[in-house]
Amino acid sequence: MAHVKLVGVMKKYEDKQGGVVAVNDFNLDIDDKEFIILVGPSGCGKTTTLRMVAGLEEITEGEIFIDGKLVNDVQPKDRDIAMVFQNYALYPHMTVFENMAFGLKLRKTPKEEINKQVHEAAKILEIEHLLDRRPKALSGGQRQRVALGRAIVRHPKVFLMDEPLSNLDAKLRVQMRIEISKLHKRLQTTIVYVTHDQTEAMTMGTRIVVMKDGIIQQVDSPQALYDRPVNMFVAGFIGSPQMNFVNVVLEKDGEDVYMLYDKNRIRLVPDKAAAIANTDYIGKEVTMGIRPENFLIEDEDLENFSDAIITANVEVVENLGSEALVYLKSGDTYFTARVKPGVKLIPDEEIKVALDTNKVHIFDKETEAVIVQ
Amino acid sequence: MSLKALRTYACQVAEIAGTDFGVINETGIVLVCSNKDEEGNDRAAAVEAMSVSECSYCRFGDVSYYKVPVSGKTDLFIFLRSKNQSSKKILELAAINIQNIMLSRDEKLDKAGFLNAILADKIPADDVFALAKKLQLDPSAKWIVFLIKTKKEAISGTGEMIRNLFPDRNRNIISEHEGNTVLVRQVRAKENAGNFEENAKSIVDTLNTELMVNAKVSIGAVANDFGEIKRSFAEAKTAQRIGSIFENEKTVVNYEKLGLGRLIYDLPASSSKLFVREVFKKNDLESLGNETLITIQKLFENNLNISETARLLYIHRNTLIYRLEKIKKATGLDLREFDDAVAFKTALLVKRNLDKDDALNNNI
Ligand SMILES: Nc1ncnc2c1ncn2[C@@H]1O[C@H](COP(=O)(O)OP(=O)(O)OP(=O)(O)O)[C@@H](O)[C@H]1O
Ligand SMILES: [Mg+2]
Repeated sequence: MAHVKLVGVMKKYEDKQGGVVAVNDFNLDIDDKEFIILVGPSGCGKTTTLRMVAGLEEITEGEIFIDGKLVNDVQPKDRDIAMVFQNYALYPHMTVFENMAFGLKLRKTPKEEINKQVHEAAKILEIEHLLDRRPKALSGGQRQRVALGRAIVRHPKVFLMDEPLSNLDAKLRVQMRIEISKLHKRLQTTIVYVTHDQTEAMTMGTRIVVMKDGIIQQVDSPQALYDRPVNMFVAGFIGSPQMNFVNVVLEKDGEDVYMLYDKNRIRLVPDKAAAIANTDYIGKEVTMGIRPENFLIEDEDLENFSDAIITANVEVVENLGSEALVYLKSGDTYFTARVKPGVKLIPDEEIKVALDTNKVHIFDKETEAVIVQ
Repeated sequence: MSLKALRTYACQVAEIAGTDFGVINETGIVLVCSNKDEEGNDRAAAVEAMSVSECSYCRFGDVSYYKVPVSGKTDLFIFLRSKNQSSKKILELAAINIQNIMLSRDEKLDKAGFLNAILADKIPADDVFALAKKLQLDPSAKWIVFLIKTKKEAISGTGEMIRNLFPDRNRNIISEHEGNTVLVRQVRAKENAGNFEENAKSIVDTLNTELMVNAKVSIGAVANDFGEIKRSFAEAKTAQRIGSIFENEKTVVNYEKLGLGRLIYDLPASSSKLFVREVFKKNDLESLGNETLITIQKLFENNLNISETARLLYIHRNTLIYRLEKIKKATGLDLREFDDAVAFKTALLVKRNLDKDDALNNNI
């Protein structure tokens, strides 16, 4: 059982210039055995949050509980956690076995116990055959596993990982992502994982915490973040290529609501229209968001969404094999569309594009919060 | 040194002297002897008598005794079964030998002690090379100093951990000096600042994750030979201090990359104050707010590139421009202009430096 709870946690790095609030009003319940990911742009406070859970950083305000126990004043080594960070180093003169055993030896764990733990961890990581090797004779991925092994043998209640894969090359990183996900299933423990890479977050986590400027923006499953972002920041951060944004004016015509920009007029689907028809937003400018795959160019789609068609100029077509990215310019706005590969589009050609209006998002232009999704 | 090595030595002496030779500890128990039956026997009476009389040599019956002072440890005593005049000479020679063996065997203590003596300026420059060679350190190689700061309670654990990360004793000297852990590492061919910073980062992360303590590491410039180690150490110390003022969020500070901080650190307070007032006028930086200060920091980190900064902060270009307009209104400085940006950045650093001085004065 390891349930982690953060209540009203705030961190301020003091200096005379007022100090930097790195994390603010952070509230989060992490379930036992959950794989939760903290993600967000550089400087948003991910590392600071993780280090507060670890006890390496003092908490300015708020409370942190591990398994129901308040740990604000508990030393890191007494918190029953294990950490894996980006710049791990193995002990060069020790074998893999000794590297993994070292932490336990420091804590005066009996020999048989150490033996058992190391072999168990090695089995889980599939490095039993490497136990007698020295770090020099290991590949990058194998070394990474040993580093994980050092954490596993501690049998912690919670694993805290801060960008543990950033120093690996792209291919190995993809491989180790899968490994860590598998590891989570085998170990059945809570993992808090920090990354700035939204792809990593989306592929690994069961739940994702999106942060910006020290503040939680949204906590949700990967799919929910993608489908129902609560604001423009989350909408733009999750997904690649990014969601497209354009400012539109809302116009009401009987039961219908239209979005106008440039010379284009797009009708909202009835349920979205109903959600906004009787609000102050009518007649005002809002921001519409639409993901690249929700631009449609097949004849059949143009028929189906005949009242949601825009004209755009094809700027560039990038064929990626499994899909093609089309960069469009519509009025003053640039869009990226994702379409089937092999479509015949010629640069500088003016085309008609339909918007899948079931999938558009509407945001408040000032607060950037979602109005209709 | 091990008893086995000591026993081998005792047998060698006994063979040359043609009679029994042994070593006694400070309580009078025979530790080793060329005649094995003697080992474990009690010769406390002789030892006590010598301690009381403060003699280093004496004779009881047909046995001659000699006292061997061992620096930093309790004394040892040696004996020879002989009442000959020459026995004193043999014991004197044996004593010197044992002292030397003890010193060179206890290398760890010795290298660390040597390093500390250099840092404390207790070794004449002319002797440094010779002593280094004696300790099997290559004095004409290049060396580099890492200064590792952890909380006090963690120092001994830190030393042990660093030793395990850098196990080659002839290429890595580790000691504790003025509350820091010092690592002096021989530079390998083709190594550069990037390697040193990687070293430093893995030291920090390993201390974080294995020992579970916080650490900061500062790095001096490369010492071209052993004689420059003291300079490299002083540089690492300066980097630590300047880093704590200008880049407190960084866990690794390199003396060779101190940037403007190096200059500003030495500026006199009076002109610094005038400069800050000139740039910021009456404005409080605090009034700009946290978000804006972070925005400015990121803008500087990205060479005033608006698009790139906006992208990294995940804000719209226009939002960023709006924030910059707000700063312009408050300070009269347009951070998109090179000159204004330079003035702002410099004033920010100068102010940090002044604040640090204030804080220090307040502490006294
Ligand atoms: N020791 C410190 N002193 C002062 N400010 C700090 C310190 N550590 C972090 N900060 C600041 O706190 C904010 C959050 O930093 P943090 O390291 O948590 O970000 P992050 O989300 O992990 O970013 P990255 O993706 O770059 O690792 C940043 O503005 C940073 O400059
Ligand atoms: Mg970080």
